[in-house]
Amino acid sequence: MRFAAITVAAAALAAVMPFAGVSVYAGTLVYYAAYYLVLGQAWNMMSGLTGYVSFTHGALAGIGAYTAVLAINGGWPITLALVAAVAVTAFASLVIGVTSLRLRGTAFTFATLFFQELLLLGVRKLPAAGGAAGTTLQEILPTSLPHVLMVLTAAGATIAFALLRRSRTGVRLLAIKGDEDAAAAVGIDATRLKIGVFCASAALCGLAGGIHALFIASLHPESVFSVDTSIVALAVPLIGGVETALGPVAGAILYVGLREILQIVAPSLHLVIVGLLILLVTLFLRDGIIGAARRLLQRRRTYRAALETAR
Amino acid sequence: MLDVRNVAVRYGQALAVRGVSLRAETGSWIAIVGPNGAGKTSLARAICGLVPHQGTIAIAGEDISKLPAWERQRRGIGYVPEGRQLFGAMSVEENLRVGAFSRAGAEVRRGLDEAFALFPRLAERRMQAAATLSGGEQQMLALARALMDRPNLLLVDEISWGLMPLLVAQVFERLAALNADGLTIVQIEQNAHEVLRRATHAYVMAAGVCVFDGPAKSVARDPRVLESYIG
Repeated sequence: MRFAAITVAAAALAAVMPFAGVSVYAGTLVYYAAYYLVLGQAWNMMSGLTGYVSFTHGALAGIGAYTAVLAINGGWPITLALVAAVAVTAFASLVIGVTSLRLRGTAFTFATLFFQELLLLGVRKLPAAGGAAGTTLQEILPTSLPHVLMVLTAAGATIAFALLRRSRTGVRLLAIKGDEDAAAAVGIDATRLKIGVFCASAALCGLAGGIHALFIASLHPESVFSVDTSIVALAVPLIGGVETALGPVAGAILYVGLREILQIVAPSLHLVIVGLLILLVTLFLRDGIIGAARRLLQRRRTYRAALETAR
Repeated sequence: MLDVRNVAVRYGQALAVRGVSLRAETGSWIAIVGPNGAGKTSLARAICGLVPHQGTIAIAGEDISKLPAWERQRRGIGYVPEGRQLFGAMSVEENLRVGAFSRAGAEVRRGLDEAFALFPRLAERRMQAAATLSGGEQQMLALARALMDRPNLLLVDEISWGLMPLLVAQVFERLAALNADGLTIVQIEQNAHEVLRRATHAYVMAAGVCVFDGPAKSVARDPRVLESYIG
């Protein structure tokens, strides 16, 4: 409850930024942190809880982005366009899920990478989506709209993850991650559950992608379906800490901050450095920054308690 | 209760189980004994639906051969796998809760109370991660987890493996109590002497086939069986 209240308060503060005279630059950083947070939470739901590593979350957001732009250009109201973005992405994930979630471990990861590339090729050849040249949003919208929507979605995704993690479904997903055979032996229908959570996670990506399309307004297949976005969706929870709601929050803020600094210091190296960071975190802080911070706090508490007893 | 007919399990070219049939009446305690590599665990995994198999498996008269593992569990099969297969990162209590995830809250609490009454050591370790438990405690947790969903048939694979003799005796006492309460047990064991003393009926497996079966007491006394397959 306290966690939800703090999340809502932080989101409210972040959401009013465009109206409170905060610089466009700072607002954009917050916007991107929120966007990556949604993708990170979506990845955390699927891959963080089940252990099935997805490399296609960026492409799922791309489907949402294209759907929203095509719908708005076709005369649909924004709300309906975003609903369509969610629905189309969820449907696409169902197709990906049904075909690839019977695979286990790295086979699934490679299947998602394959879908990522397949989607890029497909969209490049699709005349309705503008082909290789991409497409542009016909309507001019203030960026404050996607800003507010994205921040609210990020808060919603964070609270939704926290609730899922504590629920029975969350425990069942973690059981699949722990040992899929053992999970089946206690009566867990792993395949259906994995497909279900993959669809939910994809729906979230679709919404984020749809909102992001309103922000960037111009879509190019190479950038929208770039594997870079999928790597960010995975890096954010890995750096911050998987299986926790706070992990992606820390990861998204750190990632966006780091990217800004690197764009000044070493513009072409930002993904290399993010890769190194993931490597360092997985080697030395296996449960991410939040996990390490929790352990540190726990140790201090134990130390203090020991001191108290000694007195 | 359990009717296994002509079950075969194949891993690529290798036939691990070559047409085994067995029956377990309600309330019975069936022992499956035999040397390493006899196909006992493969048979257990086939009964649970964890490996593809040929032949038919029926529980309470219903053919479950085509059902996936999770649906077989819901037909009342509780499985205590070899090597425990616990959810290592989860606490003892979470492991138990996963075992009864389809039950309502009150039933889960009752299940937890019963599990902790049956295995007081687990109550002491309630919040500890399963991976940090000792071998014996892990074995108890695997057994308690399988009992959480109130199975009609308990399939136990090598539960005494790696346990101290004192703990083995305790585990067998627990199983005996459960059997006395009417639970059907199918137990795979290398520790043949203890299980043959307790079981009602025994099957001896070797090289993927059932080479001998009969009342457990007579198997335990048969010198040929003892010498050739159990030692």
